[in-house]
Amino acid sequence: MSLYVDDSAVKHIEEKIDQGLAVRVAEGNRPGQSSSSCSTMKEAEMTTMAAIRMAGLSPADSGFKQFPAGGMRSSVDPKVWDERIANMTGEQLVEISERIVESSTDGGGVKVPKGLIRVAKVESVIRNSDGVDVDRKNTLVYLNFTTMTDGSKPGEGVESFYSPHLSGLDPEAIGRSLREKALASSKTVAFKGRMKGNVIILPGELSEMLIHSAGSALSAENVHRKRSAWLRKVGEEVASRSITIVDDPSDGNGMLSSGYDDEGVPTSKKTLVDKGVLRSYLYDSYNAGLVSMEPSGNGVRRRPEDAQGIYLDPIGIWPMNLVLAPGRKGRADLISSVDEGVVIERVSDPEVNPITGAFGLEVRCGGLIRKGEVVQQIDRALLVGNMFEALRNVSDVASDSTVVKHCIVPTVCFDGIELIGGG
Amino acid sequence: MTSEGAEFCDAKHQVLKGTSIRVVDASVRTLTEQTLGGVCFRARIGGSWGYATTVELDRKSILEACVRAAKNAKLGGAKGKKIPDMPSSDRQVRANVRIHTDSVPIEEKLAYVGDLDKAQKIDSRVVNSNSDYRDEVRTNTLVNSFGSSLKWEEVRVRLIAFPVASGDGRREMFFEIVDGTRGFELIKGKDVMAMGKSAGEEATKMLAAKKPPSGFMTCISDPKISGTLAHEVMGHASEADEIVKRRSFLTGAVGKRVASEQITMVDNGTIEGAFGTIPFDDEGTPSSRTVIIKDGIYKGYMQDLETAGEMGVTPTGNGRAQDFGRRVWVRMTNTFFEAGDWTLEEMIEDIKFGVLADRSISGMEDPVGGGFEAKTLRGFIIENGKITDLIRSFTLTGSALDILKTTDAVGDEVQLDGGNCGKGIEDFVPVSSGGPYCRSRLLVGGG
Repeated sequence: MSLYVDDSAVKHIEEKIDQGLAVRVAEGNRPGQSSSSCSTMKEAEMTTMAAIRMAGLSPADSGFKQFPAGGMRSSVDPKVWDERIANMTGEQLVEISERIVESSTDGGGVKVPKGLIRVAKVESVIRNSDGVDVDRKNTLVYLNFTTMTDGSKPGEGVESFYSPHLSGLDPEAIGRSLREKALASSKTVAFKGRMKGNVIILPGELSEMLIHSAGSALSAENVHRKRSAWLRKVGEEVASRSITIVDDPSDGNGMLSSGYDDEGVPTSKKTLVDKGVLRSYLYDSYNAGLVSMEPSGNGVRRRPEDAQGIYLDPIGIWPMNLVLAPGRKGRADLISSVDEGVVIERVSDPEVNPITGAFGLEVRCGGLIRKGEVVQQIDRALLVGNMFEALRNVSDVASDSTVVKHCIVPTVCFDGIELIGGG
Repeated sequence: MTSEGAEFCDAKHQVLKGTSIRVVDASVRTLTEQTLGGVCFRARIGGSWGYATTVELDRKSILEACVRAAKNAKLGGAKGKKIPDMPSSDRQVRANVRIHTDSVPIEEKLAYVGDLDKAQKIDSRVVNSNSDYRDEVRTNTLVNSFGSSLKWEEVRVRLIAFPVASGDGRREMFFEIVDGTRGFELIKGKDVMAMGKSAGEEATKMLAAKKPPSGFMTCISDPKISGTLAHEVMGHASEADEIVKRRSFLTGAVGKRVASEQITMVDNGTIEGAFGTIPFDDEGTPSSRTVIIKDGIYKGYMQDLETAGEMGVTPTGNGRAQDFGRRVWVRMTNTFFEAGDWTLEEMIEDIKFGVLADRSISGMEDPVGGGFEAKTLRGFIIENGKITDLIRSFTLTGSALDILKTTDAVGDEVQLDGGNCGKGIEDFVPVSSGGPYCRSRLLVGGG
């Protein structure tokens, strides 16, 4: 079920029932696959026949060994089902949205042009002819709202929430944050000149930057294809000592946390980068087979914030729940420890080149820090650097771990990223 | 749905069926057939919509979905103007393709993708070759409370070469794409060996590319990056739902000068073969050509049924959804700047120092602030009227209106670039964007 707010009013309510099937077939070492939305036995048979046809047409792939073998029980069993989400009604969604809108607009001068709340229950069955037999279910709530101030130079606030549970969702707090962000953003001035120093990046933006860079470099597929920036670097230092990265599917707060991946392979908690040293990569069954290893339980079809059509895409390698270990300082303490720098609150799109790590991100809202205090909100600047280099130059990590998609990351302070303004 | 109180309603059945082939390092990594099908019911009461979608097509499931759609519309309670009355229409449209993708054996598709992949490995510096092929046939059936009954088909094909080169501790990539609302004739008409070889050569050249300069400077955007500006900033901000809720910096801009007089920009869903071309939008309105900017003066917005009702204008055929299970929004089709009369050589020759931006990787809209951001795959330094060094990926940014007002040269040839466009971070629809080479002043920087 999804609810959309347009211009502070409930505009759309959608109820969706989806069901589908993904079939993989191997004829010797010739794999084929097919996926389809599906509600009848006839459609299931057609999907299966299509997969068989694809395998028959596929050339032999010497890299393909076998699909995962069954019989292994997972040692992790995260609690990712919330009965309240499973039974949520349209009326309850309307109430949540109204509380967010009221809290955002209380005091005037701010409106809610856009908002989305999505709740879903997902049930999956994974079976294969080698004995995999897994039943799984999870719930999810995903929320994304924007606010906007009145006036000729409006400020914009954005707030997201990701969780398998309803319990952490505080509509009033989200509304207040949206309001504060929009008001702060309305006070921005275009950054002039350039600065290279401490750059603090908040979790909402950092999570994407981390997934695009470290997430990509950790993929055994990218390692095998020689396009990983961390190729042949296991045992070597790839990041600062303050950086520890774990894939933790046992954490019940993770959006993709599960005892089994989407191939039915048991998952486990894995340390990928330990105090800056690369320890291992992530494997699906195909790439594990290439190096005669066991898959790590990272074959993924699903998307963290969506429940529709999640059977359609082929298996790819992704973290189930990428956790960047938190530090000890709160976010405010991290900012107050910086003599001169900038805190990046929102960029246009936190995209990083997954192969080179390079990025150039338009800053839409940030704060200049002087002697431990944010003295001016800024925009119209470019944040320029390389994420793989940035991970080697981390000066501090905060304790404010936040769930964003399939990551849980805190605020991080980097050294050496450049901020470039016009003029 | 009308008996449940719907003031307007429609039902759309859709099947999206496609073949995906991915060849990596000369072996077939993915060979799959994908089908997504189902039905969506929409009901509008007051200013709120209720949707119900299902993949179960028995009579009981369908009737239940209709009731749920109307119930959800009642829950919203938003105010709104009436959907404008449209003439009913009864039409069937087949895709205008010469070689339908359904008629081409998979073996033939595999052979083209395999050739494309082999051709990328021009030497040992190309450490990884990637070749993606995807075709998709969308079959749509729509009925609505105007009495319309429409059935139409859309066929799209896309082929991508994406090599990665490595040397001296560096890795760089390049890509070549061909796409369109065409059948397999698009692939047959392409020299895939030349396409792959060219991509491989360009990837290896990237290993010598220098760090891009940074700062405010003169920039010539190639047609694809000009298209990113047209699409991401001026296009998204001209979607009338953003105007109705006063979220766009172009609210109230009709009749005002927003660009230099060399700039004319349109959205045109009727261009034969372009990736964003559609016979009807997802509400059954025929696609059309909408002039957004004419000689620098802002002219108007793209509309769906609802925004046309709110603004008292005619819908333009821009109500689009990713698929039957997703919300209809006002969306673009093929959005581009029209040609001027400069050649690229003329644009370059009077630049003392600047950059030529080559190929768009991505961009992001900013309807509130009017900012522009485009990430380029690479570029070239221009010094004293000549192209000198190749430079790595960088980002261009600035205020869209400042950029368009400082645009002092518009090239004489338009090219379109296909892709999938999201509204925010979801709801992707096939579109194209483009324009000619354009010269303006922007903030540039890259890592």
